[in-house]
Amino acid sequence: MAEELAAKEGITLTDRHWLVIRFMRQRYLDTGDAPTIRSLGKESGVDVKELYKLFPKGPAKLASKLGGIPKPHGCI
Amino acid sequence: MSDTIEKVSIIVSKGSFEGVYPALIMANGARMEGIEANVFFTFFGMDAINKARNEHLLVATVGNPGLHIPTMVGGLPGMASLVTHQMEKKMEELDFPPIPEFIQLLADSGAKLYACKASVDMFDLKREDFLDDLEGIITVGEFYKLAAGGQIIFT
Repeated sequence: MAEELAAKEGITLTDRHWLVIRFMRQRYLDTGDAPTIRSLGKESGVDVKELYKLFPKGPAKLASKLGGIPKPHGCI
Repeated sequence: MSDTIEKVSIIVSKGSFEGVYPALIMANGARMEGIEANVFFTFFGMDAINKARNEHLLVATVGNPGLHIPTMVGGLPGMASLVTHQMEKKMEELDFPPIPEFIQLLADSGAKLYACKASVDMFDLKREDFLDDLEGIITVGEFYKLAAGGQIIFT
C-alpha cells in the first residue's frame, strides 16, 4: 500500500524512508498529532537536508500520507 | 494559469522580530508543501541573515498598536527585550525555532536565501557579514528572473 502510494509520488521506499514514516506514525499515535518538521529533523534520526532528499515534495506531508495518518496540523 | 503554486519568492524588508517571522514561516510552509521558495532580504530585513545580528532581533514595542501597550510604556528601557523574550517562550512551546535556527532550517529545506545588492551597498556590508548559507547577493533584476513564473510576496 505505502509502496504504491510512494511510487505515484516517484519515490522508491528505502530503510531511511521507513525510519521517517514509522517515526511520524509513532509520534501521531503517542500524541495525537504528527511532529513538526523541526522535531522530525531533530528526533527521527534523519536530518532536514536528508528528509527533503527522501521526500522532495514535502517530508512531513508525504511521510504522514504514506504512514496512513492525517497530515500535520501546525504551520511549522 | 495553474491552480497550484509551484514557486514563491518572499521579500523580507523589516528587521524586527515580528517583521521577520511571518516570512520565515511562509517560506518554510512552502517547502513543506513541496513548493520552491526564494527568500530575498532587503533593507533591515537583512538583519535576519546577518551573523552578528540575527540572534538579537527585537519586537517593536513602540509604534506597534497591535501590542496594546501605551507607547510611553513601550519605550521604557528593556521593554523590547522583555516582550521579545515572552514571545520567544511562547514560540518555543509551539516548537517554532529561534530565528538563527529557522534560517538554518530553511537552508536545509532547500529554500534559497538572497541579500539585496542595493541594501548591502547602502549599509556597507560584505559577504562575510552574512551566514554561510546565503546563496548570493543579487540585484533586483536578478531577483525578478529567479521569481519568474512564481508568486512574489512582500513582507
